[in-house]
Amino acid sequence: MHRMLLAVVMIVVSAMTSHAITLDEIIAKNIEAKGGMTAMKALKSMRTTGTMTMSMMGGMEMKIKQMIKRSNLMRAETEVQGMNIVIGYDGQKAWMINPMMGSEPQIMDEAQSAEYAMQADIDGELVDWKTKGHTAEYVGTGDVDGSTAYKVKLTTKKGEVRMYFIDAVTFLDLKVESKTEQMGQPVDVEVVMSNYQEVAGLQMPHQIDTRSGGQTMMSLTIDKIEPNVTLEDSLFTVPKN
Amino acid sequence: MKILVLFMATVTCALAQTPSFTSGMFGGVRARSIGPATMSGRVSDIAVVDTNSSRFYVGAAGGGLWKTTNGGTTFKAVFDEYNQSIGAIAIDQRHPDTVWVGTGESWVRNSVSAGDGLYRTTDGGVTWTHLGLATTERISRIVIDPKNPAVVYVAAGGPLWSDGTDRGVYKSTDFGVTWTKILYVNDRTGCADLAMDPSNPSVLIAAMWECYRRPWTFHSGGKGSGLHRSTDGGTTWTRITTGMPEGDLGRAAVAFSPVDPSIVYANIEADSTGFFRSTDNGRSWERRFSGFASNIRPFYFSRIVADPTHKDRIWKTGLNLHRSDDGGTTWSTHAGSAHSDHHAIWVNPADDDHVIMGTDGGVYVSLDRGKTCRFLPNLPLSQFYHVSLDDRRPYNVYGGLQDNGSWTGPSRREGGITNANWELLGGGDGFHVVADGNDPSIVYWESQGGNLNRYDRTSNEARSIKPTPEAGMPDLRWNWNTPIVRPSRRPDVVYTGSQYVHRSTDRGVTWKVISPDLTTNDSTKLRQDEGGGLSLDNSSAENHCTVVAIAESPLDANLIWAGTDDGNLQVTTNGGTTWKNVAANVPSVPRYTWVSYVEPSPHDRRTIFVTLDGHGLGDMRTYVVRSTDLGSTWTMLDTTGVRGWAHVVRQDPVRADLLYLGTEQGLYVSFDRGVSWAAFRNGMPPVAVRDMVIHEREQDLVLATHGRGIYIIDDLDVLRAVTPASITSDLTVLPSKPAVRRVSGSAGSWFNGDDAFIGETVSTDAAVWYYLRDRHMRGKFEILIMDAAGNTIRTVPGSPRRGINKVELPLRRKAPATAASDAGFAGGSFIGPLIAEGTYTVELRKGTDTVRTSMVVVTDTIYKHSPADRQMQQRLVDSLYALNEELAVTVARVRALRDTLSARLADSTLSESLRERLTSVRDTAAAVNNSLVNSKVGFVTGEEQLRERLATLYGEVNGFLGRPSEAQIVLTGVLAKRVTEGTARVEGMVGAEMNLLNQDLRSAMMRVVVIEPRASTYKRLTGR
Repeated sequence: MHRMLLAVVMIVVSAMTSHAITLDEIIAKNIEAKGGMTAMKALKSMRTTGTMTMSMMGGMEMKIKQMIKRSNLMRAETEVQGMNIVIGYDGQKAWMINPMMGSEPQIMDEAQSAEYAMQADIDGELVDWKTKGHTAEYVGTGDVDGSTAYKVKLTTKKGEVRMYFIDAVTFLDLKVESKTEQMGQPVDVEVVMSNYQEVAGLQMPHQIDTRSGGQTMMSLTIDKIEPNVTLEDSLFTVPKN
Repeated sequence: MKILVLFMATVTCALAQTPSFTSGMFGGVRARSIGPATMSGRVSDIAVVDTNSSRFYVGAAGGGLWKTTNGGTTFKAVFDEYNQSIGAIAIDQRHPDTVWVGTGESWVRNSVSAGDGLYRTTDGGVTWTHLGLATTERISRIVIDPKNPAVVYVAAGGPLWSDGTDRGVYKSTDFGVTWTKILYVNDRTGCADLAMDPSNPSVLIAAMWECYRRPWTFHSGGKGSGLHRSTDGGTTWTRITTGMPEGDLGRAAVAFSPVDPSIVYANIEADSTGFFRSTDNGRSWERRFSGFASNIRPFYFSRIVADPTHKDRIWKTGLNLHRSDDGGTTWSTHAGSAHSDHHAIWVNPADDDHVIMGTDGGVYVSLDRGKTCRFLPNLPLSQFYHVSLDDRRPYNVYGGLQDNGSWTGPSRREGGITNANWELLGGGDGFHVVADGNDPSIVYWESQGGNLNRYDRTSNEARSIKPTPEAGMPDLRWNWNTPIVRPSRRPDVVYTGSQYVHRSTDRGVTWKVISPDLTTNDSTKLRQDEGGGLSLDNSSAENHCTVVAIAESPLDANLIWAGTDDGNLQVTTNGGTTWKNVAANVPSVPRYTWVSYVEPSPHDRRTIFVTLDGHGLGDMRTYVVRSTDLGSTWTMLDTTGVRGWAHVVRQDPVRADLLYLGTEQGLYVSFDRGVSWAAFRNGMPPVAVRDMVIHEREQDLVLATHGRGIYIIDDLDVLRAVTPASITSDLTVLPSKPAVRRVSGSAGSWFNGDDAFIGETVSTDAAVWYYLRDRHMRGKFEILIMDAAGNTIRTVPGSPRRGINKVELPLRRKAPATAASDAGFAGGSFIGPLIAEGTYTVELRKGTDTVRTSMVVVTDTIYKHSPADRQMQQRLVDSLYALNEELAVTVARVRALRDTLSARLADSTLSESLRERLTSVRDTAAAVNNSLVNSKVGFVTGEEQLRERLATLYGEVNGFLGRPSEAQIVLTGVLAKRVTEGTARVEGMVGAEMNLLNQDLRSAMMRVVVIEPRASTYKRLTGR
């Protein structure tokens, strides 16, 4: 009797687990977990304020404000001692004003712009990836800090490769592995998301940690996300001096 | 049915609640790689993108696969989740992001690892797919049909230590989905090399090789060896006979000339090993050369490369890099400054002056056809056999490596551990390296075959201390990897082992044999002088019937354990007077299985853990056994889920349930005394862990890996705290080390470029450790540091991992609010002051859970400052902090006035007189602002106003924990006065002057000017 029961259990359990999940299912569940496509598309803009803690520099903190507007517009402001470092993305290219290097906006090249293009995508890159010209591929499960995750490899239209780790339980984003540039050098980074809270019907991470080589380099703690605020397009275009 | 469902629910629930610790849950406990890369390690293959020589892959014997896209300036390990022993790499040159990797090195020296099949990436190494051939154990070559990349041939050597059919040439026509064995000779003959006619992919030549290893012998050559040729893509084969050497053959290497494929070259091991050439596409052959470049250790150096541009030029691996420019008749030797023992060569098809070499000591690049070469110093492939430590602060790491001598280096160093921080102690192959227990400048080291030496690092004197037979004794037998053991708690004693155990109490000047022959002394396993097969090879690598593991019980100096390579496990309880062989009592382990490690328990003198390693007899199981009665009875520990033969087991000296197991496939940790094991992968790949040692003072576990150097796990205290009893809630705080106040005055590193290897040093930041049953996904999670009065000093985000979490706690208050400026930063005030010594509360707020723990903050004892001086520094920093903030508020107010007035001046309805009034006050405000903070815009202005002077002074005082200088104290007074004056001036402006101005505005029936009150500005800027 015992043995038979166990066999039944094994069959049922394996039936539950052996169904091979597909890319479309993962992305559909990911969108659903975040609040669904309707809520997602209803979000036209958002303004996020938070504190960036630099682990490497004695826990130095900086206030950060980021604005995103559909479609593909982004502006981030970091204030340090009264000076404002501004990075913008106008849907095509990224620019920066670093007062230490003068008041002229500097236009970033395509490689540098790519990182901001990702941030400017208000829905996230996995949503409508086909229409956006990216390619996505489910490449199996992986472990993120002891949690099982589905790995989705996204190759953007411009050829950058990013690995999304989607929690197998909640279907929320756990981590994104990508390449970034620091002083012109490619660096592999992991961006780990947690502290999800609901904003305008959407689950949004309020803690975003950037790790490199397994160590946390920067922690962004989000204080507030304001959905659907009015943001002029001029905020995002390259300022004319 | 209902009952069934209920039952199932119960079962599932029970399963879910079982506290099983899995790999990912180690979380914040990481292994840090300290390298070194200075000697690098054995490279088995190199593959380069033909059209872009900056992009290449390096395959290591035991250290995985590395990729560079910049000619070797930087490398990235791209295979760290998989088997670390690389046999062959092949790039699909038409699709260079498609790379095939065969695991299992084919340079089958005694210490070689084993692979687990074939892998392919189609995205340059981001993701890999396993494509079978898992049981072939080693892959020597992968050949892709250049016209149809779905067609791939694999040369598999097959199992080295056992006979079997998983070897030969395999072919796939569907990108590796299915395989057909297309050439098989016998159960000891695999394929050592495979070449394809570049002009006709149907023509193949396979070098079949009969060889085997056992722990006591190596044999290359036999009837199965030979060259086979196919002209139909491997469907049929013909054994080549015309022009072949007489008698049995051994290992051969073969290559078609890309310039003229009718020419084929081969180096063929035989009774008379030689270099051969065919001018008819491989049908018939003629001997061109016999000599050192050809006959040097064919099993280890059998790779030839036909030059891509000169048909008579051939490159060959050997003790050095060898080259012939006349079709193999005469040979020259190159790359003399490179490490000896070459295994891989790549020659640039666009420029054959450009050669990349893989050796026993890493990768070298030549740009002048081998005349000179450059070492790539950033591949940490170092292959340690053993590791030991000293008690210095910081402690040092000692160890010996495959063909790379004996070394020592620091366990930590500010700025990281560089290649230059490692010191070479001895040459040859290195194994055990042990510092003297009383004087760490005296070091014992050895080269292969028991050549023990003692080296004085102070005087640079070295002397041999190899024991010799006592009167009437037979010759001593020394293992390749002879033990040198110093008991951790008895500094005067050193042990070594031949077939006997030897002990010295006078630093090796005299040795006493304290045992009989402890081995089987089996004469059939003592014929190393006949070893090698066709080519005599007696390097001591196959020396057998020797003692290889010795350990004295940390609880009883008379209790000594010894394990032998031929399966004996011996114990004495009377310091060596009598010995007892307890091997026969160990159940389920085949007789003669190599005893790889003996670990007497540090908790119980009757308990011993032993690892046994049967791989040399073809038995790959992981054996860990335990006895609790001095070896009378044994328990085999369940190693389900553990991969790789066992090299070493250590029992934690504090928590007896905690075991560390090193196998050929990585590190495993058991929290339940060996009932279950979790693979430890945090920061390290599944690399062979050959030895481990625990630093009891520092609570560190130090690992010797055979392919990726030394790793250190700094946080054993945290692992010790993770027990089923301690994990009682969703969020459990684990004990943390005291938080240590430190400041760094180090100048850091200079501009090294990108090719410097920098080993990871330990983080000295304070940290809180805790265990989460589940990942924190939703809701706030923050960690507060509070002082005794309950004031929150800092808030940092929590870490959300399932399992063990580490959150570094800044021991600094926030940086002071600093006056704003339009012209640059005041860098001195970026960093807050260290918090005072004392006891703090750390509060973890996770959703609705709140858990508190305390944190003791002390100052590093390395500083010799008196408490009074430290307090003085703290007070001065606090005053300067307050001054920075006062100035910040003052400046904010004068800027507010200036900017408000500027805005009002835009009003066109202003009367001329009012405009003049406003302009005048605005200009005064601007002038006052510019006297308080920098205003000249530019990168190097040299300007330094009050804000900048104050910030600089604050930064200086903040950066030194001792008594501030008189100059700093005096300057603080001067600047404080200026802050007071500045504040008075600004308050005058926003007070009386602004009131007068507002009266005028009121008279003109206009809005008055309003500035935010000082208290509110203060709160806004400082958060207090």
